[in-house]
Amino acid sequence: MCELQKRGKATAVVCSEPFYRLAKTQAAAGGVPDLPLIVIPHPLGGASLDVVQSRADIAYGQLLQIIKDIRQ
Amino acid sequence: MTNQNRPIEQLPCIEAPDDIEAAYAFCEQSGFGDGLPIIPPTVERVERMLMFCDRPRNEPIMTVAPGYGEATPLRIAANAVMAGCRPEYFPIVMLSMEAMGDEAYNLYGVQATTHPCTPLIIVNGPVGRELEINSGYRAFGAGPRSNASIGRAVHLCLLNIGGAKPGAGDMATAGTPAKYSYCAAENEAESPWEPFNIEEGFPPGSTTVTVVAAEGPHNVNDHESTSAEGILKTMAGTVAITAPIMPTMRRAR
Repeated sequence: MCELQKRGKATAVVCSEPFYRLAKTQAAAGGVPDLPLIVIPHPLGGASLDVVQSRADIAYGQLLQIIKDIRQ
Repeated sequence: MTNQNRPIEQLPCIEAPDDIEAAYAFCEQSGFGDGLPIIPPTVERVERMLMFCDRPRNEPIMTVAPGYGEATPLRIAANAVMAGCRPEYFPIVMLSMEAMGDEAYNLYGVQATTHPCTPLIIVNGPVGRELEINSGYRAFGAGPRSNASIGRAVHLCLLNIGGAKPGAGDMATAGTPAKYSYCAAENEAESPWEPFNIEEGFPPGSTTVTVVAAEGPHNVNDHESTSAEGILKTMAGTVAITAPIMPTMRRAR
């Protein structure tokens, strides 16, 4: 994702809340400290379909915002 | 004079107190180390360590995930001093780091995973015996300086060079005490099998270091079986709950 972002492609990484710090560290190590992150509640493993849907809704809102920010 | 061969004083260094307690406090405040006391890595001590290294002291031999810090002999030597290594242990520490730089080892995965695995260093061959790396009773600790400090040096490198900080670079949910230090030699003299490095195709008499992302040790204990089937059931039952990741190896030059 860092490489795609460096090449000017709109990118974002989805991570759950406990992995936010790791994701930020990795983005910085990859040379893109401002890499957009879509943060969803934890956990995802073993989640029911309803929970997965709610995670997707949370991610969708952030994704739209990222796209709007890029267009501006 | 190239940058690779400059005296340590002329390379980027951190000013820190060399008094034992002050250095320990400095590490705690600066976020270095594993929480245990350290030997202050003064220029003189690091120089003594580097006497056992024939590589350019400031040339990276690998990068350490997840922070991708450059592991130079100088930095590795500083961590080896902090861990309490004797200078003659340093080649084993260097080999361990080099082995973890192999892409097949997947150091990022080992460092960042939620699983409680950590590099286990297994030494084969004559150098391990010369250094008295324990392969017998209580080989995984605690006790001998060689096992303790070699394993600790590697793990300090993972923390200090690689940035494997809890919750930021290291996501191990519970971790393992093996993350402090995890090093032993194979008990070649008493094993009914060929030494592991010979089995893997290295020549007889060679010294090798194998790094395996492993959980803490797990005993295989059977006091009751009187048949091969019984012993095999115990072995299988134990193996079924452990899952080491693929090892990578390096031979001493």
